Amino acid sequence: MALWALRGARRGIVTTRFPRRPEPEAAGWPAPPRFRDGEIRRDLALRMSVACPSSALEVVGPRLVLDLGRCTACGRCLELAQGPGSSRPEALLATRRRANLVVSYRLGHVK
Amino acid sequence: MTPRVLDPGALPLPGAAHGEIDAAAVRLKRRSMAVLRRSLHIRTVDTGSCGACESEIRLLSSPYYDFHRLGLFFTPTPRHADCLLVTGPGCRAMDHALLSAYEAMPAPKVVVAVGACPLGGVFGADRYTRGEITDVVPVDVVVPGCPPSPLALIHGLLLALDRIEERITLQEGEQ
Amino acid sequence: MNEGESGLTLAQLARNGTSSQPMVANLRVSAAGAGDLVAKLAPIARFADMFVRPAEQGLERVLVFADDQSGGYLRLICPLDKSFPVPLSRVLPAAYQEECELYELWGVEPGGGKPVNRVILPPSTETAEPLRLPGGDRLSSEVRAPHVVQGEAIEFPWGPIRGAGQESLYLGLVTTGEELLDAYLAMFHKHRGLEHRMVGQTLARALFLAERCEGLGAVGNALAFARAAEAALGIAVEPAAEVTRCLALELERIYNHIGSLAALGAATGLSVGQAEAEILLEDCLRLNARVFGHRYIFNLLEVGGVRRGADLAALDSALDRLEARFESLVADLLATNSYVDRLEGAGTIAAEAAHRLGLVGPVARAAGVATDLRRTHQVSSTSYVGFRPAREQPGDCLARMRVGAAEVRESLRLVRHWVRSGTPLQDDWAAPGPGQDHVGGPAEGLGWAETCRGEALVHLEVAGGRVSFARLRPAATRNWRAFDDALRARNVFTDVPIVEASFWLTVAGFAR
Repeated sequence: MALWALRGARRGIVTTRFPRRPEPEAAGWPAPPRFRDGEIRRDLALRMSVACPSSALEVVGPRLVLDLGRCTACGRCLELAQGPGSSRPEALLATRRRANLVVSYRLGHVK
Repeated sequence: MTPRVLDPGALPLPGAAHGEIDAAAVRLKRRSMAVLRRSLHIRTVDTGSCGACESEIRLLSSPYYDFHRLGLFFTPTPRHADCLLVTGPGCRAMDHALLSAYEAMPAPKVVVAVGACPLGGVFGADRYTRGEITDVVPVDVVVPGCPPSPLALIHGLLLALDRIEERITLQEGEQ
Repeated sequence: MNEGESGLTLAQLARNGTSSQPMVANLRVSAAGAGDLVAKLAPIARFADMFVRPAEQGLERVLVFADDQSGGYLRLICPLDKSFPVPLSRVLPAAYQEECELYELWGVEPGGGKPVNRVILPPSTETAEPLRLPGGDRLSSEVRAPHVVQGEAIEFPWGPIRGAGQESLYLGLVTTGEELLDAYLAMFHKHRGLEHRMVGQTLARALFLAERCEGLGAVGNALAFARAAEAALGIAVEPAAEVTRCLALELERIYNHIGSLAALGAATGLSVGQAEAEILLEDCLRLNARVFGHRYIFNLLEVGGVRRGADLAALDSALDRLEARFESLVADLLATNSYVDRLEGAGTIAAEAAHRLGLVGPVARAAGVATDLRRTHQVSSTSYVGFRPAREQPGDCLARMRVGAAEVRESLRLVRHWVRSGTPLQDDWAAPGPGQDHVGGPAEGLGWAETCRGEALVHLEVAGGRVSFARLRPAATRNWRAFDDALRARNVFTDVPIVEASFWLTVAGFAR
């Protein structure tokens, strides 16, 4: 078993500093989208909500509603939205209130 | 589809599964969770996940994450557990097992729902699945993702212990 | 070429059939004729799947046989009769599970009064009707092949909730104390009805579900699904996209074998070995994220190709170090006698059993049955030059570990070849591929892939751009069949987690 003791000692510590410090590796990991308020027109918003495979996007009245809880960060809505959409900077979304995960945006108007 | 945003308290507060929304009960619950601030013993329950969430959960005890350093531990028995970590879309065939596991845990206890599945994100309600687990057990903390990384899981577990802040950031215009 | 007693070969049979796509031959026969043909096919072909589907003239039974000699599939299609005159599994033991499924879903009895097990549906009154055919004869609510545990033996119930981060699975372990006499599996707790959900969905949404059939096999199952859709719709995949898919499949294979090593370390109590494997596993998942944007390579595949390219620079720079560390870990594990002793002779599945039960993948290859679709059933232009399936004896946990190590080596060689030889790979974001909005008449296709657990099959029928019928058969549906046999083979209680780790199947892939 000396083999394994030495191996473990040689390996050293690889543990992440999180939560004291951010984990740099996570910078590229998938995160739900965010959109620019007022820049997504209704017809595009409807197409995005149809394309979402996990029912996370919905057009409700004059707003586009995004449920971060249902989002799987697949990126299909971003492909459609292009400019006005981007990935959120990080994916630490735990919350005590379900409603905190539901965000909404004003729809843009046809110029 | 009923717009979920119009149902602001959709996730029941602790105890609200039985219809009580009692501010005093909530305060008491959080005070009692503060007793556990230093450590959490976690029992995992799979209600029908694809297995990716389980893989991330298993990695919590692996060297890169080592959640023991934060006072978090797995336990195989509900009797010693403070926390039920639940994955999956609530397959109805798991109702009995999930409820039994919850009821076997002594108070104070928390339920943490993991992934998009228990939030109705991937599978909707039908004869096989509930889509959500809140009809069976009250949920205290949700950790979204598909799957949520071990970092997100650590964040969610520390949140359940009131040892960390929520990190959802809203940019201008988001409501 | 394999010949049965009658001198009949698969090729001859296939010639009599029609073909809806290359490498797939369909033979339409009467129900009685099917019984005869199955008896002839049993010794010369590998049983791959059986299911029932709605057809113009009512319901049809489809049996799928694989030709592992020259590559290809032969499908027998016959009208659904209430039963075969004798239980199908008497002639074709591998089909027992499918017989049970047919009973649960369609109320079709196996014939000969053979008892059935609950495989995918829980035995509750809510689901007592045949699921796809409501209004049929009511199923017996407690359908379980009778087993009597007597004398000194008890059935120790384990599950469905088990250890930390383990999938829900019920294991009834029959024991007199230490030795395992028998094991009963109940795997229906996680049935999500994926095939049922896919009906009426767009191909994109159905593929999203196929990825999440089995998270640790997302690429493999999605690939089989995409290929089924592409065969149905006559879509040709760009060579660069196809190589990218194959690359993703190999990365998935690598991290799964390492995951199995981590679980073996945990099961044998070799903590540092487990920790080392977990470090490598995390390295692989991080590499997946760097190369394909997701730790488990979700959201990569689409019908017609891939949704994004691979970050080749990230992959190239990581390969050598990954290989060196993997080889070092395996060498140390195999040099640890206490570890090797726990694996040797545990959970043995012999070659005869592998053939009889239609096993696939590393579990079969460890028993000496070297079936591998990458050798025999190549569909793409991707080059598998020099590829050789791993093969070991005698089908115990140690043999499976060696197969895993050999497969990781071979996968790394393939990946290195594709990355460094200038093989065109998709290296930037692709526009949504063809077939996303395809509208057309009814079509069907069979798709397959050699996933990390073995052959995955998808049978898909589409109409108007939406799924009209889907049948998913991940590798786990084949290989769990052998798990209880493996446990019975002179094992003790503490071997159970070791055998489970070495099989490295998923419950999600079986339950769907």
